[in-house]
Amino acid sequence: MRTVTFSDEATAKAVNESFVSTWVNRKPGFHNCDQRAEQGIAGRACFATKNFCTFFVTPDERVLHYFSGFFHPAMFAEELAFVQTLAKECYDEKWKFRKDGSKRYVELHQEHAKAHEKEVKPVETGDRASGQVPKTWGPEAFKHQGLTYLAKVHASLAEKPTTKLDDVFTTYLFGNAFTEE
Amino acid sequence: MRRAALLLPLLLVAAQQDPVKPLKKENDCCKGGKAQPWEGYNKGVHWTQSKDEAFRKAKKERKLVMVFHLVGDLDKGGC
Repeated sequence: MRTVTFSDEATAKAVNESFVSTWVNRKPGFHNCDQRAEQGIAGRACFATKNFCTFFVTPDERVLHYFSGFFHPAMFAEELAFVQTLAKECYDEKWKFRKDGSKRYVELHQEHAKAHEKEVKPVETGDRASGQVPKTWGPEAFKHQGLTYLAKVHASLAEKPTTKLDDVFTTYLFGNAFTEE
Repeated sequence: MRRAALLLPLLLVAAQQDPVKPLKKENDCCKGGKAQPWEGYNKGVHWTQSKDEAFRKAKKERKLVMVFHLVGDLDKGGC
């Protein structure tokens, strides 16, 4: 994320204008010793690894959205636009729910869950009968995985509009279990 | 002969795997076993290093907060 998405000029501008950004090393003292994983992940459209997670929250720590793993600037921009729409339509200036704000929060997350489900293209699985290995590793498979994952996150947040950062900070959903811990 | 025939598929699979390169102990990112600052830090997204400070700042500026939770240090190079 840091070398592609957070370094992208347009992404950085959009984030810096509307957000105060902070980072937390969830394993203090641990430092990644292998840059190959970062380089490998950065070449994809998305890779929903458990390794890192981006949360968008109100100043009183209510979660608007989150997603784990790497998302290329174009995909990141779509989710960021979603967060901004959600913030505008659901919350007032003091970050309290507007009238029907919590209902709208649920609707918007449900709409986006459905939209991501529609975007998911079937992945070629290979011909098992002839002994071919299913194609679960590659750009299309990772995009499939990322979109399916985003749909699940939206659906889960739609179930609880009052999710706090602490509720998901260590127990967030992830698209694949790859981690460097 | 029979043993060689049994080992052949395993050798072919091993040959298709990416070779694992040994990690460098010393490189641009690591000097004396210590991770060096990452040169791209704060050149794109601006980071507030303390989470509490970020939330205080967001309240004051009426902004939202983006929290990036990771395994490792965002401000350091690989080591």
